[in-house]
Amino acid sequence: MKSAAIQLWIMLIASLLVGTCYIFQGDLIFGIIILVFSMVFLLGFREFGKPSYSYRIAHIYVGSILIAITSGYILASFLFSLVNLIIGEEIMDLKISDILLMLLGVYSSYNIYRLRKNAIRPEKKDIE
Amino acid sequence: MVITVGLIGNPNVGKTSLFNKLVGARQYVANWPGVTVTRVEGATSYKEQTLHFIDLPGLYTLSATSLDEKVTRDFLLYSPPNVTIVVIDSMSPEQGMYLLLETLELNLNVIAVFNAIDEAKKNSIKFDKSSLESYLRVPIVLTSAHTGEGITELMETILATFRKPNRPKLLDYGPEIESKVAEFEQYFEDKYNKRFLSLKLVEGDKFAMELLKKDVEPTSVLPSNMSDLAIKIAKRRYEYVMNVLNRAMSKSESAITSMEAIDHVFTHKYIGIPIFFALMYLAFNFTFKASEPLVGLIEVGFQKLTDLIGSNSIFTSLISQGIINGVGSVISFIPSIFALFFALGIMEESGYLPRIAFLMDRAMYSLKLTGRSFMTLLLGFGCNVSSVMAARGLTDERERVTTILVSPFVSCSARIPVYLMIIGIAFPNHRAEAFFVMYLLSIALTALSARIINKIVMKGESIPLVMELPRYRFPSLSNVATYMWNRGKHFLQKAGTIILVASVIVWVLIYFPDPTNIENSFAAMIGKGLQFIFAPLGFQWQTVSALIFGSVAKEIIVSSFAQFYGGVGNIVLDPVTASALMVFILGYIPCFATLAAIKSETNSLKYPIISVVYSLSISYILAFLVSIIGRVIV
Repeated sequence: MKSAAIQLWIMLIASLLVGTCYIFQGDLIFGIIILVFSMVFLLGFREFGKPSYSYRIAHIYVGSILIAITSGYILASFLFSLVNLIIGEEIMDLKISDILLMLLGVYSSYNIYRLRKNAIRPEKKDIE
Repeated sequence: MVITVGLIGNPNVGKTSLFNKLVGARQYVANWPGVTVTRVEGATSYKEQTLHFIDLPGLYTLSATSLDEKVTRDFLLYSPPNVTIVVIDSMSPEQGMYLLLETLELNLNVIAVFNAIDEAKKNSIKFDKSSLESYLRVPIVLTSAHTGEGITELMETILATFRKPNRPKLLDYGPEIESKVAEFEQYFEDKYNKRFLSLKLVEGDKFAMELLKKDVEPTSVLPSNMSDLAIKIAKRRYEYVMNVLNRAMSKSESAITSMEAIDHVFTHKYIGIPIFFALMYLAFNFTFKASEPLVGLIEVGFQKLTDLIGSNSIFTSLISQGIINGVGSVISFIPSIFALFFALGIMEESGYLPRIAFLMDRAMYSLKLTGRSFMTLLLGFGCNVSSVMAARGLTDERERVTTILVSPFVSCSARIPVYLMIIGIAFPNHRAEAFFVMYLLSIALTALSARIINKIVMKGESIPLVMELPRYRFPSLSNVATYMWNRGKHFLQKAGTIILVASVIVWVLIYFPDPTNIENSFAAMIGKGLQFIFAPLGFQWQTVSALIFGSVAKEIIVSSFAQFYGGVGNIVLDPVTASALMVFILGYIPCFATLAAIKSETNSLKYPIISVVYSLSISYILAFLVSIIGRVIV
């Protein structure tokens, strides 16, 4: 597994890119939302002291969850818009920023899975 | 033979989930404390016995202070059930076991249920059941209301406990306290549980003081070092609990758990609130995007039906305009309402919303409220009546009344179709943003009103918030669906009753005395007669009439508009007037049901009157300001 700092950098830059892309395409509020989520990664660098590694992991984990939720939301909106075909209206037009966000969402989901497996999820034991 | 079984426990330990599992009910379950504020009953049969379950409001100690806690204490004291189940959270059992020790003082047939055992397993928490039974001297059952684990064993244990009552020896508090307890027992009538009340008296419980014999003065019998003794009692119980847990529970430590990671970020002092607003915006945007196609489908369906029937005769006009157009215009927003509650349901069910109460506590404290009020007010997004009722869970009377009075400013589901209609007309390209702003305004108006009420009507300081945050959990579809249904069903019920009747009345007022010209109708006469009051806000007579009819229930505003203009699509509103109208609707006059709830919960006519006068004044002033500023800008 890559170091927490490298992971933070990757997610920060990728989410900043997607957020900026939304703003340039005219979707200001959605762009700001992605930028807010990218701040989660940025603030991960401010974690110092003894448990800093764990808390940096926390920032990658939660930031990835938020990005995954947002990309899932775009996907769900697109799927719901398919109902428009019944009433003869157009379906949702996926922009470049939407595609980028969904790709980042896939990577975030992989991140969540990997962190739960290696850094967060406690081992299971039988209980009486 | 009927066996009564009482379910008690700390708030949010899964009592209602367990109750639902035991009796097959569908009571609303939320992932935050204080949802059950009154007792709920249900029955089931097991091995030819009828088990009558009573789900009681959660409490941390039997020294009850809030109204809902008193419900539980009084029930146990005055009508004790045959079997009492103390539900304990397996993930953090300390406080639940404290309550268990207190309950044992009541000399009841007790079973201790360690619930959420499935989550404990996932977190490597291990219980030694036989050790627990030998130390606590009551039957122990490990259950999961979520998976159904241990439910059959619990049923068997209830029958066994009923047949062979098990009233264990009480905890010894040491000679100093035990001698005081023995001394105090003489001050109570024989009909009461003397030991329990004596202990409570030593703890300084006001309720125990009220039950003293008539000739006994509390001040003359209570020792001067009473608070020291109360601390010693609490300390003794906690020591016992911790000793039992050290012997009967094991836990494996990991670097950081999923919950700690999520909490670290979601309650972060810099990013916590921005994340909350971002997620709320996503929820609102989801509401529009997910529901838009279905709303369109329903609108097209109703339009075709209206065209098919026509409005040539009085009868066809009543059906097509009064009923289909009037009620249909409201019904078409149902997908949006359910989509919104689906999104909010996920946020609440996951355990996220109580974190917002924690984050908001500092801001709420400056308004002389607490984060707990915030949680109560959140219920108002479904129906204001719910938040007014839930306020009985607040311990501080000043905070309770303030919360009741500001509840009507929380945007309930009845206002959603009105906003959706107006936003769709005036802000078609910025619907999610406009809707989001309305909710922010709703929160701001609630906060402002709390400040004003605390300044003028209810003076005092807040009690600091002590709140146990629930665990995060993956929202189950059935719980989210139940949440969505419970919040949205009022809307469906009203569509078939009050909105239908009101739509017909509005149609009568439009149709008569001149069916050919609406400008001569009774509705127009009412609107024009009062239009001068609303002229500074820029409202036409149609808006004035709709607002008057909407004072019964807000959805009627939509129905009235649809009938005045012959369909929602024909309404014309400029952005400034639309903004002023939405701000006015946000605050003006609570619906009749909410006013009735305010009266019954405060037991006074003064507060409903204050609520009406204040809400009308503040909403008029704010709408006027919006109108003035809007016209200057535009």
